Amino acid sequence: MEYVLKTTGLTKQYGRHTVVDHVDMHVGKGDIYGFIGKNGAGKTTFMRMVAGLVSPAEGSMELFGSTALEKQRLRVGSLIEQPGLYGKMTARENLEVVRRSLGITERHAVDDMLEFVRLSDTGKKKVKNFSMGMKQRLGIAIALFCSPDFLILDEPINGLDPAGIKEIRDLLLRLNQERQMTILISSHILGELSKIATRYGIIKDGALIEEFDAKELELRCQRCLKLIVDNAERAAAILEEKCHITNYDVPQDGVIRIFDGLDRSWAVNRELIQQGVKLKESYLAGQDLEGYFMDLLGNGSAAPLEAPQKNRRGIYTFGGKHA
Amino acid sequence: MLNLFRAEYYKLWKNKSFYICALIGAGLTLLLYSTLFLVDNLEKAETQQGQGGVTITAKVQEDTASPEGADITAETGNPQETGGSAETMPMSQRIGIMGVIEQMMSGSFACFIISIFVCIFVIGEYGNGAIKNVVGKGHSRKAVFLTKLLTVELAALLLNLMIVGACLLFGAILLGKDGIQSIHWADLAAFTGIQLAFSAALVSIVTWIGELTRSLAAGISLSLALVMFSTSLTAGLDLVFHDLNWKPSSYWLLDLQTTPLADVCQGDFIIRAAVISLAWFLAAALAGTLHFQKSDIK
Repeated sequence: MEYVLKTTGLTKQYGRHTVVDHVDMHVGKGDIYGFIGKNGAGKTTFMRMVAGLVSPAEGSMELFGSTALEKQRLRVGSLIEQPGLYGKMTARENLEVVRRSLGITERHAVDDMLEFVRLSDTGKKKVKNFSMGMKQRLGIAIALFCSPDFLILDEPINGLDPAGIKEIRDLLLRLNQERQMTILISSHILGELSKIATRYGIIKDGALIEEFDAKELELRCQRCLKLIVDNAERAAAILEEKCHITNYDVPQDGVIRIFDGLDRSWAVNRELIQQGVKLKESYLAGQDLEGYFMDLLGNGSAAPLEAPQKNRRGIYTFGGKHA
Repeated sequence: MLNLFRAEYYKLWKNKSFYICALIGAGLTLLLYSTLFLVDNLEKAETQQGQGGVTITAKVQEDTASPEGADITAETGNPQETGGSAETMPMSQRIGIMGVIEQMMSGSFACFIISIFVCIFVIGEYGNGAIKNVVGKGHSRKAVFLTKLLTVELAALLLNLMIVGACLLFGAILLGKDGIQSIHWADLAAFTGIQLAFSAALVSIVTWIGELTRSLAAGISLSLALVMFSTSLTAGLDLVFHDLNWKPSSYWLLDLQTTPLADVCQGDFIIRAAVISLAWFLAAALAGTLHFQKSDIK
């Protein structure tokens, strides 16, 4: 796979405190990579290292398969934390500074960009008088100047109203689909992130604990009947032969997840018990994306939608029904 | 680097602080002239009221031994009208345009204005986060810092020239033809050139301070403290090293900057001043570049 960003053991320390701890990240070409982590987990520091604002203590990175980072960064646009804007200038003047610094000779490039982020009607209004959403859009316009192939956005929808969030989301999807732009984006609004991200990376205490794509996430969050049995192989055979269930998987030894016929879970449980399978637990599992991320980050409701309960007779039940 | 300079140049012209500093420089020049005329008027008033003293002339005839034979006259008024010496000329004429230029350039006025502007221009980039836009686009850190330095040097040059221009303009208006005729143009050129060299070195140091502190309050405070108190510090160091017959103040550009105009135009001083300015300029530029290359941008 062609990677736009590949880091190996990337580490940043401030004094004795390790902020980013040996991160190996892989952002493929065309990905919208959702970078998730709690406040202080190291997301922004990591993004700053990628953008060249902060130098790593250890590790290496490749941009577009090359280690000549300064040169490759011409193909990168970034908006990290607050957009860097001159408050006493207009939107046009801000973009004019960027145009000149990048050596773009076409003067209409500024107008085109203003049009693209829908700020062409701001006229002589100073940026300091802009709304949060307008500032954010201008920040994105600066990051988009020179048509980068890779866009780094740190919390770009923070402080925006729902309309502003939708606008940014649509813009990012447009950039990804029309210009095949690869995007690395962090956000705390996980629901929003899940609407656009094609791949995810979870950072916790500076370490990248997991990387997976959107399909895998969907699978992990899918509602299912989770069975904990003594013999998964035998249980699987009974499911197929007796219950005619084929849509299941065995994620680990002794665990079966059934994705079909969830309303007939009682029948499945009865059949397994009747066939002599020791059914230790049986419950409906599955979460929304936010809950799943919270679990991964270690402070969410780790419980599934309906956790199994033991009744007086020691029988597992859920939703008031016998298991 | 040329592209970066184009962007910096654009920012300079769009920067209100630049124009405000230029106006303040012109305003201070006018204030200085006004002060001179105020002193002139005070002296004149004092003289008319006799507070300036009474001139007593006694002509004693040699053949007259008695005091009664002496021809004693007393007069008050403008010494010029009564044929007074150059020391009793009006203050504005005694100081002249050259004196005002000397006061503005080698005193702390121009240094204050320029230091404040440099701090605003350099540190402002960190405050609003715009420095991220440039560094994040892959420009080399060295090029970013040196471009910024080059731009503030250009701004300082323009501010200095504007101050000299204001001194000449207001001097011509207020002192008239005599004021212009009293200017030694060769001395003025040499003096201005040396002051520009000192200013370039000071700007380099202030840019470094700005890069180091990245806080407007701290940067301006440190820079102004440098301009105000560094000469006192070097005077103290002179005393400390007195026994070794070494004067640190003779290597510090702000001490050299206060050298009187008459001494500045000496050939050996010009060379020494140029060498010391260049040394401070390069040292500060190098220190700033090295620090900027290694430091993180938040």
